[in-house]
Amino acid sequence: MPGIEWRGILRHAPPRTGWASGCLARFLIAALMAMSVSPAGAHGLLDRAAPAAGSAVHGSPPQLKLWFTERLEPAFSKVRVLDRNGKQVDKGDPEVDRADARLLRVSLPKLAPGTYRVQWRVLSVDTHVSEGAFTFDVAP
Amino acid sequence: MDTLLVAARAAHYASAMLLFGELMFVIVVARPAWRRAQRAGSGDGDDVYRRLLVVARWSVIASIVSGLAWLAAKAAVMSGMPVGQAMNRETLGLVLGNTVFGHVWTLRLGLVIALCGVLLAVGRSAGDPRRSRLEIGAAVVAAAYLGSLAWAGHAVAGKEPDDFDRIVAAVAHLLAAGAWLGALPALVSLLDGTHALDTVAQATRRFSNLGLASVCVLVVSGLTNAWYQVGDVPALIGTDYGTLLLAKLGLFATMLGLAVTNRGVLTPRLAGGDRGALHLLRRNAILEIAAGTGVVVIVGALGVTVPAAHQSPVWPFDHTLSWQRIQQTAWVQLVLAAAGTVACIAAAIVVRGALSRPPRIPIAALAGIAIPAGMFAWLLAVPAYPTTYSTSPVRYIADAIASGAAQYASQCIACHGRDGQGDGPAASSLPIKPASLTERVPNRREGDLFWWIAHGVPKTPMPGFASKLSDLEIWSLIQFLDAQAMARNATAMTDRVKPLRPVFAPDFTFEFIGRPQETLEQQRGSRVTLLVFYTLPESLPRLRQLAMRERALRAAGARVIAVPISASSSAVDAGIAGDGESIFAIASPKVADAYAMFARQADGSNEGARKHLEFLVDRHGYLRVRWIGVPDTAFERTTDTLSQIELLMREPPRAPVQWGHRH
Repeated sequence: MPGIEWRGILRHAPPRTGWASGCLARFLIAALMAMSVSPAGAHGLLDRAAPAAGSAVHGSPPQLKLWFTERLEPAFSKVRVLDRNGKQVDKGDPEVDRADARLLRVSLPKLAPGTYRVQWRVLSVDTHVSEGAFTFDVAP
Repeated sequence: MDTLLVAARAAHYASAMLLFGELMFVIVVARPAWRRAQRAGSGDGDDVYRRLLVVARWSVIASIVSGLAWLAAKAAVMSGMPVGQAMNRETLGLVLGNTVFGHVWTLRLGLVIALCGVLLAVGRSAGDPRRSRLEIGAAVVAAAYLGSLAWAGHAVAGKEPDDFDRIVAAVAHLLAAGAWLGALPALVSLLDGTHALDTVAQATRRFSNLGLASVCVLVVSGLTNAWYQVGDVPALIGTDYGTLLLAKLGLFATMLGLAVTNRGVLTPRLAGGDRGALHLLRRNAILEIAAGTGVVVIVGALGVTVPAAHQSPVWPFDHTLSWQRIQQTAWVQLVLAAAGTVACIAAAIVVRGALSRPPRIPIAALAGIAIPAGMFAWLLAVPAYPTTYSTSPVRYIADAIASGAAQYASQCIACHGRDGQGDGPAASSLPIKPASLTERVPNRREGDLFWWIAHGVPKTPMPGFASKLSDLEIWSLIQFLDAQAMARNATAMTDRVKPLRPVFAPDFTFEFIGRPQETLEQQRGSRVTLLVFYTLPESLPRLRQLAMRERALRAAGARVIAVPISASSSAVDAGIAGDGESIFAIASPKVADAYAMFARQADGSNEGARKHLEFLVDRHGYLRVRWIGVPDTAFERTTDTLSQIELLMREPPRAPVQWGHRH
């Protein structure tokens, strides 16, 4: 960083006006470099889920519930449940709970035993997008 | 799309700050200085107003354009589509009508239109005594326009109780920055040498006071913001957000140094009639604007970066400072206390010297700070690795502990031995024997453990396992090591409640027929849990007893959860009748495996644990009481159980178990 001309101030040296605009240019270049920042990666906001990630439930659950660490925007928060072949099996009604804006729910029909994959993508109120996936098993 | 978003954000912040700053300059700096000049019969301020209106017009245009660009970029991020595709009525309607961001943006559009109106009125009211009131009105609208940006950033999300503090700090930070940085261009134009020197000196002094007030607010609100978004030093040093924040602080320090020079040295000289000081002041103000522009661009980038508190920091240095090293030795603590005292006294001398006129800082005082700082750094330094401050993505759950046990059995047991005491079959051939894991592991950061397991421990025979184990497997192994250390504490557990020792109950999911899935952690707070691990037919009498007394146990404050040790002998369908709710849960077999670790007694025996094992988990998540083996008389044990439950329920509340509990 170019130093402040202490000696210049004390000795009343004439200012070098071209030097100040050179500094301005340098700062602007540094500023432009700062703009090529790596994007905010989708940071995992999922706190817990029911059925829990990686667990096995006995009997088909009526709903999938996902709790997040931040409040969600309902308009852009979605979750899908897919079966082993990638076909969507949930009822297509993802909803952010009215009482608790951190809870995202989707209804499920009666699920056959097997492994199911959950894919979620949510927008938190501070406009950060986050996405992730996990699996759970339905045991007979 | 991120470059567009960062550029739009920076341009918008800059124009909003400029609008507010110009108005603050007119009200706080220019008007009072010119009023004095008019009374003295010299100078006119009309060119100041003309300039204000020109700058305001361009700022409004820039702010609207950048605001629209910001909205477009956000719509793209929210919908996941590229910007071109996101510009349709449906998406924009969703963004504007259904999100917090959209509502704030609609409000701000109204504010900027209102601001245009008030500024037009100000422009038309030359010579009107109401002009000053219109200016204040414009400043209020501009303040609302600038301050409402707080709702478009990180301050909005987080824990509800802190909402108010966070928003207040964010708004204060924005307004203070606008009042200082936004008013600097106006100051520079004032210093062009065409105005009377004493008026300019007046104005500069008033601006300096405005800047001082602004800096105080910036520091307090900035620390508050950093507390919520960053939280601790590793997050500040080891994340992108933290690095950007450090760059911002560096530029702020530059601006502060220039401002201090202006206030302390140049402004008094200007007041004394020195024309040369005018040029120097102008140059310093231009430099401040340059640094301030850098700050605004960094703020633009900070908004799209994950807050440091939500990320796992990557430590960039070879060492870090830790109190852990000195906790054992007393003489080190004494030395550090003495060094700290010396440093404080030296700091006081330095401050007093800096504030005296002329400033005189004795070299000895500077050494009095540097030498103790060096001692601190040398004595507290411990080796550190990139993962030292990482947090485990795997929690302390039965599944992870069981997987970790499998990894341990295949990779580690040869040297470290079954109980981690370094007595494995291969250990005798090692030049350095492995230390006791159960003693070392609880005192180490989990990030350090991760690095040692992945890359080996230097200067020891411990190899790295990164090529054999995935990251998640290593984190599971660390959960197992935690459990192994706590299992050693658990050898002291008996069938009576004893003072608390740190033995955490591994969390797990379970189900009762016809009820939704639950976790052990959910039982905390209100109830004691009686965990029963059983096999059929040995445990049958005891299970019958528990089922018959379920209501009494529940009234005493306990929930009974019976889990089969092997999946083939589950009592769920055995039709055992009870007087209350069912006690037979379905859970993964790994749960019994994990809990079996806590079944060893001090003499190493666990006779009977493979058939029947019972634990009482207190209301805070700790394992407190243990019964091993099938009871001789089921009735007596139930009386025992009830009395121990009662003791646990009577205990005072305390902090619950926290995962990742390392210093």
